[in-house]
Amino acid sequence: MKTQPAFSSHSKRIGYFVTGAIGLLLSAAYLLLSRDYPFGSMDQPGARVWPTVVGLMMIVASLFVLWEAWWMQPTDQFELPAGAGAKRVALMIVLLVGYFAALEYVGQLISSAIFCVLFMRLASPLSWPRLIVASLALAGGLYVVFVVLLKIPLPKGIFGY
Amino acid sequence: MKNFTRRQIALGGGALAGGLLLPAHADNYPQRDITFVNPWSAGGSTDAIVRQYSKLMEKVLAGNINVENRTGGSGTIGVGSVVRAKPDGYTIGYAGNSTLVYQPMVMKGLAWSKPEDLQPLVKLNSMPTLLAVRADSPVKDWADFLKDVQAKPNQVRVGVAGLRTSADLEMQQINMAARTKMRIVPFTGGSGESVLALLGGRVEAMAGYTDGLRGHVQANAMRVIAVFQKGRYEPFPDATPVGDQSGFTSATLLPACNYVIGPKGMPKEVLDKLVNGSRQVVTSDEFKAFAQRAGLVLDPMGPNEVRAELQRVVGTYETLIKYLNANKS
Amino acid sequence: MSSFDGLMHGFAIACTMQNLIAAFLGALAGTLVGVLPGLGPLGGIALILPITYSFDPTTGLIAMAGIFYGAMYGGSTTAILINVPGEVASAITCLDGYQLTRKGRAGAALTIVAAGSFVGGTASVLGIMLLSPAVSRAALMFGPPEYFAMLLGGLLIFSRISGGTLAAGLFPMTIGLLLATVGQEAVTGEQRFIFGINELSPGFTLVAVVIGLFAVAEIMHLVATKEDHIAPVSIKLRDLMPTKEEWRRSFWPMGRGTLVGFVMGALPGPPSSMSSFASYRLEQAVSKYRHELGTGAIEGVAGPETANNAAATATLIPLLAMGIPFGAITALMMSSLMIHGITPGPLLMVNYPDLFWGLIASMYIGNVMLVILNVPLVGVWVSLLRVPQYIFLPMIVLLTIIGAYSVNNSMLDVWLLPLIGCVGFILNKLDFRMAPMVIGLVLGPLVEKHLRESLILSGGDISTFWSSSVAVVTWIVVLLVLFLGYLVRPKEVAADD
Repeated sequence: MKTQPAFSSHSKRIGYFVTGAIGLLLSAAYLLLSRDYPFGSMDQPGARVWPTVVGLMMIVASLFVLWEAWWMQPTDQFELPAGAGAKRVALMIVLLVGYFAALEYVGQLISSAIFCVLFMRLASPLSWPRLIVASLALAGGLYVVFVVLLKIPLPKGIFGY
Repeated sequence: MKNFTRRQIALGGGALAGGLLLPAHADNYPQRDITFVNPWSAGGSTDAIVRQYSKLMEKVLAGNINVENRTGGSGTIGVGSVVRAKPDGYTIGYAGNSTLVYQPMVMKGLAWSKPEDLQPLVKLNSMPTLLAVRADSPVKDWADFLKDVQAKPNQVRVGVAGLRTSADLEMQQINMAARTKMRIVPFTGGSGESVLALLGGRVEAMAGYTDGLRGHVQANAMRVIAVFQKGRYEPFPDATPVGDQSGFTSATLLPACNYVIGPKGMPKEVLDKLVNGSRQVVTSDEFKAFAQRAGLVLDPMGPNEVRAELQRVVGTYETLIKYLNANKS
Repeated sequence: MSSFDGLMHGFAIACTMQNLIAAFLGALAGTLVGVLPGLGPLGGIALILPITYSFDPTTGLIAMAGIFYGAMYGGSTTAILINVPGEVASAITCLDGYQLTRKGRAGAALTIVAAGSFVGGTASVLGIMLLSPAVSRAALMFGPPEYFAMLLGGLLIFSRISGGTLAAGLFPMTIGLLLATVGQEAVTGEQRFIFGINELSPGFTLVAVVIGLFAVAEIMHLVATKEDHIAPVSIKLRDLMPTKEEWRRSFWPMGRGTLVGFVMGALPGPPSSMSSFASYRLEQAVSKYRHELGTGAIEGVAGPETANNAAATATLIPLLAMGIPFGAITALMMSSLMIHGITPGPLLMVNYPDLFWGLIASMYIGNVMLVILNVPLVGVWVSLLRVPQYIFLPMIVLLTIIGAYSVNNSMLDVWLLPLIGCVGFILNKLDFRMAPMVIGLVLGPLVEKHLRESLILSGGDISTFWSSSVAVVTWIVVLLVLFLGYLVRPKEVAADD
């Protein structure tokens, strides 16, 4: 199993501080937004009751995160993709976004096939002809199983597939 | 209740047969699968009706019907998708009167706001709301219950399966008409929860429909003391028909009525096929037998009568909503 | 009719050619449906429902039950092999199952799952046979205040489910709770936090979030590292089968899992998908090898998957004994019975003994069939791992997208996948645990529901939460479980952090 140096290390302590801060901001926004809903009364509790509880719980949880960050060793590290690895992940995300956007327009079969081709080009040393054959087989096979055999509705594009 | 004359059925059937036998006819509907949208989740009491209807319609139309469950928003999501669908006859759906008439009055941004915004095809059935108590309850019948509720404001709890469902709205109507203060408790997990609550003694009564109650009545765990309609209700002949009691006019009765609808603007030939086919289905012996087993009250109506019926309910709902808003705590 | 007579009678019915085929096809279809992420037993049963109308009700019910518990067998397959849970209940199996695959023990894990599922399913059927009346009586003792205590306690207890620090579990759980509040609120119909996007009205689809958290995050990791294969693969029989040690270690978890699963499935309140989580948590608390959980301990697979099947079978009890369906699957079964003119109710066993006993007998047979079916399949599944990653990954991506979309026909669920995936990926790197987020998503709305129902029922009187003896007992049990760990082994618990 080849593992390439595709990650870079960052301080976990900072990561936790950031996460805790985001958590506090999120809870504050959440609690503010839930002011739109009524509290109701004791015998008819309204839609605001539970979100308030959740918001408070989130504040507590974020505080715990910050607390743990405080006591963490500065040398604790965590890894995020970097370099080649990060590029691959970013490309994959772009591909996915394009794939989803295309789903509604050209339908599941075609977008899946295109996605496969591009993805495999990214991830493997196969040549174009083999890629295309493999993609069509994969996308086509899944299409037959799910859409034709099982009649599961999947996005149909302008071509009807 | 208007029944279709035999002549109408024969004409309808003839038109249908004619349409199908003439391949050269421009309209070969249906040429592909029809989607039937059920706005409630699979396995609810609606499921049985929907599937029965589809099964029989498939034979009449000589086509394939796929039932799709599109749930959410008290039925508005599924119904909305039908109303917004292309009016080519390949998307039709199931809708109840509470979704069709009540929801637009309280929800914003729906695809329809009045019955004219969609095309009713047929009325499938009505399901009157029933009131049940535990078998060992000291309440013996409707009169007892009414006295009890009037004597103990805010203390008698009635379970219903979900807020603003037909059962809930019916009980609110009763509160309004009889000037009582029953505490209506919505259980959101389906009728099963209100049954359990009743059996466990957590509520004093529950309002529901036949399919959820019959088994328990048979087992002598519950008694149905009232049915909210006019006239005797066959499955529970001892239940007091509240519609016959003084002080409760038919305006206070809100049975759950279920229809098949389609989007507005379907071509005439397609519409005729759907309407006539549906008529055939709901008047067929098979459907009648099914209805009897399931405790449904059949009330075949065509599109115009459905529109009229929906219009009548509008007034009732409007009054009810005013009352509910005024009494919000 | 005594239980024994009934059972014999039932076997006679279950062994007709028609019913045997129905059981087999149901179990097979269920397994396949379970393997596919997103598509669950509900979809499978809804698909075959029209077909069952042409057969007699017993046959139809047998097929549907087959799909149901078959799906519980299949759901863990993808969870173990590729960290993609087949349905929510299998999410916890990803934790240790996938680690086992990484260690080359995929075959062993799958075999243990098959065995555990058999044990759980069969024991549960036994439970239905013998304990239905007792369970029905117990079900009546629990109401909203009792369920509130139980589920809130569950939330707190499960927050430590994946080990790690307190924050590592609590923080994602609150995120899960938060996400669960988005959408139309069931009681008042109020649309919360949807910002005008109507597609959000049903809330975030649970399956999509689970797939995004586990599968997509893992896919991102694999893409980043660009390994050639996910795991060392060997198809020698020795490596496919569990070692004696693994069997030995699975014994008690299976037993405990059966009990936990049966109780959680039979009671209407707790969702049966949480049974596997409960079993995992239990193993964390009492197993001798609990410190290995999370790195590929066989207990983390044996217990939950046994509980899973036990729960799935036990959910039939409210339907069979009381005629009350809980959950969409049993509701579908009830609907199919009604179409045949059978009214489920407390008298089902008495009025339709053929149906009741035929179903029970068929479930025994079905469990046997599933084991026979699944054990050879283990080799097939494991050899799938030999497919090079560049084919495997796109296939997984496509499968997850089909799965996510098929739940609600909503593109929103599909877009959710990479979003949640990214969040999950980053949180994972920071050592936060994902399983508590799932728990927050599942239990959050239920806790709210029971909170409000309790208050509505009591007319605003808070004392309802501790007024019944069942509620008090539940609170005591919750507190004991929460703090027992600290009381009994304080040093160990501190070392966990």
